[in-house]
Amino acid sequence: MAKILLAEDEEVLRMLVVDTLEDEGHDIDEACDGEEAINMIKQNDYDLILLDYMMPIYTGLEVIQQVRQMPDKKHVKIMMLSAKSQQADQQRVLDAGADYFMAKPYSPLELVQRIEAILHGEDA
Amino acid sequence: MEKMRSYFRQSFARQFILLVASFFIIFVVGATALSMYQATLVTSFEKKKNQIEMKMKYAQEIEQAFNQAFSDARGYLAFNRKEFKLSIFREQENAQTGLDALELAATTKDDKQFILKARQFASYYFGDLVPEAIEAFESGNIQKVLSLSENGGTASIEQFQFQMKTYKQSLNDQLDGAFRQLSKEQQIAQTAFIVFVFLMLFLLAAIARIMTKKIGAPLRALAHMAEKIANDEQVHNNDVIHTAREDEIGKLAQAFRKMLMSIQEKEESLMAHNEELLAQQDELEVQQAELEQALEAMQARERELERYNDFIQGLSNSLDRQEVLHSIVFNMARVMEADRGMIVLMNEQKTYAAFGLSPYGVEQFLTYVYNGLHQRLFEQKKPFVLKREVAASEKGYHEETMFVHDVFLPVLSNESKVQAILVFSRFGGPFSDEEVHEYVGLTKQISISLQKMELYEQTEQARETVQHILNTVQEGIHFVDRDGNSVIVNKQMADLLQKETIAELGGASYEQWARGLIEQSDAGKTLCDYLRAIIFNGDEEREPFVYHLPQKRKVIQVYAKPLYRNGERQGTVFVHRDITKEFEVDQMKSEFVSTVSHELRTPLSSVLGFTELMLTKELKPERQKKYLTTIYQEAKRLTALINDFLDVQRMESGKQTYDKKYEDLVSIIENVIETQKVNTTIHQFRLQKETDKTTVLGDRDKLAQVFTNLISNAIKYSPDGGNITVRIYERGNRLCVDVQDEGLGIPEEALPHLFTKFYRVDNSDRRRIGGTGLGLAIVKEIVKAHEGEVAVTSELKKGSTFTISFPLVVMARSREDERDIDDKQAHAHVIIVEDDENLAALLEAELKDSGFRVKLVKEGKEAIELIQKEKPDAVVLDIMLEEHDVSGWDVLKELKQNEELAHIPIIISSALEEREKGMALGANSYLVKPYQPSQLSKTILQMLLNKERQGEIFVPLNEEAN
Repeated sequence: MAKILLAEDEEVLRMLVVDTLEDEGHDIDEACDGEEAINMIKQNDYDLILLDYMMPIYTGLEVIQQVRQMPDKKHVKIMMLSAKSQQADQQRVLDAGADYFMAKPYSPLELVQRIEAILHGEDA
Repeated sequence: MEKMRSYFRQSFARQFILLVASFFIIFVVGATALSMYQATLVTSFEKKKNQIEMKMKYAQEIEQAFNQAFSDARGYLAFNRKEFKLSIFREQENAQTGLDALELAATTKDDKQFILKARQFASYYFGDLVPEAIEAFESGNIQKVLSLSENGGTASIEQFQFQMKTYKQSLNDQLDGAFRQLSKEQQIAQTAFIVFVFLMLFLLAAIARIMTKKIGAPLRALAHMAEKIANDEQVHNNDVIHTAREDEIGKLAQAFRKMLMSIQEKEESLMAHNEELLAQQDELEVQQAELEQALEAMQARERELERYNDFIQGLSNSLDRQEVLHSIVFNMARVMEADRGMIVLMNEQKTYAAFGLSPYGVEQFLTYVYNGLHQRLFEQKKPFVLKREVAASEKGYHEETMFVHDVFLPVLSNESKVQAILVFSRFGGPFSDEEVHEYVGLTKQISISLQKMELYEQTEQARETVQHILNTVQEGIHFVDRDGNSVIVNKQMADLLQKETIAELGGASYEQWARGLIEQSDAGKTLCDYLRAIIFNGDEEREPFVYHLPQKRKVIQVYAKPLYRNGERQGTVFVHRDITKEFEVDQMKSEFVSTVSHELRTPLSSVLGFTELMLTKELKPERQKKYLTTIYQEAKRLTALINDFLDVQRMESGKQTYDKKYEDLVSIIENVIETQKVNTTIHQFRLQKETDKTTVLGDRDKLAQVFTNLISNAIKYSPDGGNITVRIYERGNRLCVDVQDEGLGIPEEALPHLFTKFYRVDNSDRRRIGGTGLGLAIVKEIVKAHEGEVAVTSELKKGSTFTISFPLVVMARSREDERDIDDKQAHAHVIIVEDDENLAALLEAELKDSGFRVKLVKEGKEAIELIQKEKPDAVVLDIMLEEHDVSGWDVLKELKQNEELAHIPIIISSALEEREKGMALGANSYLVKPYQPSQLSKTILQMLLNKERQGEIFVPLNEEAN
């Protein structure tokens, strides 16, 4: 069982991801915007953070930048979920410090597979 | 020997020296011989004399010695004294010595005989007599002594004494003889000297004679000959003598001969030369005569050229037409020495310049320019001269008859067309043919001058046209030469370069013109590099360059094209295109695509995700229902999004059509509220109607969409409920609608972006408020299409108010409060041709409201008849009329063909978008339905006012006249 944060402003998508991951037995926290996500990351130690790109207050990109500034969060695993699927967008995200990237629309099963792989130390 | 002779023969001086030297040698030898002879004579005489005198001395001594001895002997014997006896013997010695000396000096026989005799005597006397006498005496035998003296002693003494005497005498005779011989010989010597002197003199004379003969004669001969030559007498070279001689004279003679020969030769050649020269001189004289003729011609030509030059110099170099003409007339008059004259260009304006003419004369000339005397010029195209009597007006104070000479000159163009005519008058004298010929030459110059001027005018016009064309082009155009100097620039470019006028850039260097551009550009350095590379390096392959002007908020694209003339690059044309709009559109497009992609993917993610879960997992029925509901909602959202998106696209691209009608806004809003009410339970809706003029011209459905979006937003953004108030009211000539909520409000910084597509306000509430992000953009587009405006005011936490305003539509004649109306307008009569009764009524009401008198007509034929009868001030004409055989176009054509009616302004009011056709057929204005009725009033009024302003006679049809 891993502790995972999901930051996503779309309620339905939160529901989709949370339902899927909870079925796999993970502990999921939810954040509705960038600011909430940052606060939760500060307070908790997550095994994995899933970030939406387009979020109110702080975008996913800004969240990554802020998290990577935190001394104890330099190595926390972050996966970006974004509708901006172009190569350049993806590269920008990885450059900012994200470890993984998944383009919307994503398959929840595929997401689960990748998360399992990441959590088991396999580079997915 | 031969050598020696030739040596002397060669030099006269040597011969002379030889002669003189010979003379001197002879002279010296002769003189020496003579003087030596003389000296020998004297010496031999002296010697003889000395000998004789010695002999005489010795003889004397001998005589003395003997005489002493005689006396001593006698003394001794007489006195017996012994000393005498000693002396006798001493004397004997003396006599002996004398005799020895004499013997030594003896030269002659006489001397030797004497010496012999003396010796004999001495030996007798001293040896015999004396000793016997002494012995006898001593013995005292005196007798014997006496006997001895008597027996011969005395006699021998006496004999000896005689002999002595004789010898002495002979010596004297000898001396005398020597002396005499000397005198005789000296005489001979003197004679010989004299002879010698004479001989010498003779010799000298002979030498002189020889010299004279050797030098003088030939010199004289040569001098004589030279004189003859000098006197130019005939001399043959054979006449020259002495040439055989080897000396100087010979050489001189030879030289002289050679000289003579050479002189003769030279003379001959000189003679020949002289003859030649004479011939040449003759020729030269002929040539000179020819040259003089040519010179005269030249001088005449020069005078002509001077006048010509004078004329050309005098011609104004200006390109101003009037100035040039004036200078032509003035200078021609000067060259011609004419008193008055005139030039007239054969153009439409008959441009002219006159000199010494009255304005009246000028006018008269111009009036009859095609039918006066000069008609001849147009026919013959040749100059002519007239002599006429001076008219009274020209005579001044002169009474007598005077004549004036007029010359008429045509100026022919290249095509031999009469371009201008020149007329000059001279009171002074006639014009000769040569002069006229010369003037014709000058007219050619004038023709060139005029052509130049014309060419310049054409060029200038062309240049202006080009500049105008360039200025009308929207792009900034800039032609730069290879050195970077600005050559041609248009207005737009000058603006870009931050210059007030185009003139400021005339010939500006790269540094001068580029600075303004580079300073204001965001990419100064790169732009500078770009321009430089093209201008200076001819880098023609460069892609267009885009730069921003941040201050002007412009994006400019510049591209360059090289300009070639005859294959040589002249410079570069830069075209600076304002692509701000394209750029923004492009940027928006890419943002839009990105956003749309995001917006579409989110609901798609849900639909796909949940579907996948349902397909792959065993789910409880509740969860299945939840997922299906979600899928359904998300699909609906996707549909709405796509619809909104398409709406926006259609509206923005202007493809949205609006079915505009006069609608009551209140009913639309009421419907929307009814629909929206269903979606909420926590909101209270209020509709406040504050005016009766709630009609708008618009598309009912689209207006409903506007209010749906606004009211649904109001609901969404006031998630805690509250009042939603819709207020309808009039403000100025606008009909306004407020939609007010009591919700979250909008942060101030968000307000400017509110109507931007996909813009969503970040809420502190953090709850995601669903929507497409396109609602307000759609509102804005629709309102804009209805000539309306949308505005928003908001306060955070208190709510927002969206205000939409439309143009007020006035349906009824309720405009008593309308602004003062012009009297003319009050009487102006308008006929409306319209088959739609409602619209006709609306328009009639509007126009009557505006103070026009209005008549309605439905059909084309009817309309024409009415217009002919009524002659209205304006006609409002629909095109699509009920009666299909006569359309609005036909009415329009008919009216415009009728002279009486053609002036009536026609306003076409049609749903057809055929403005061009309408205007081409003569309509004055074209309104595309639907339009605001007030616009019609305004158009008509404007038209009538314009007509008045243009000075056309506007006859108001007032009530009385009607």
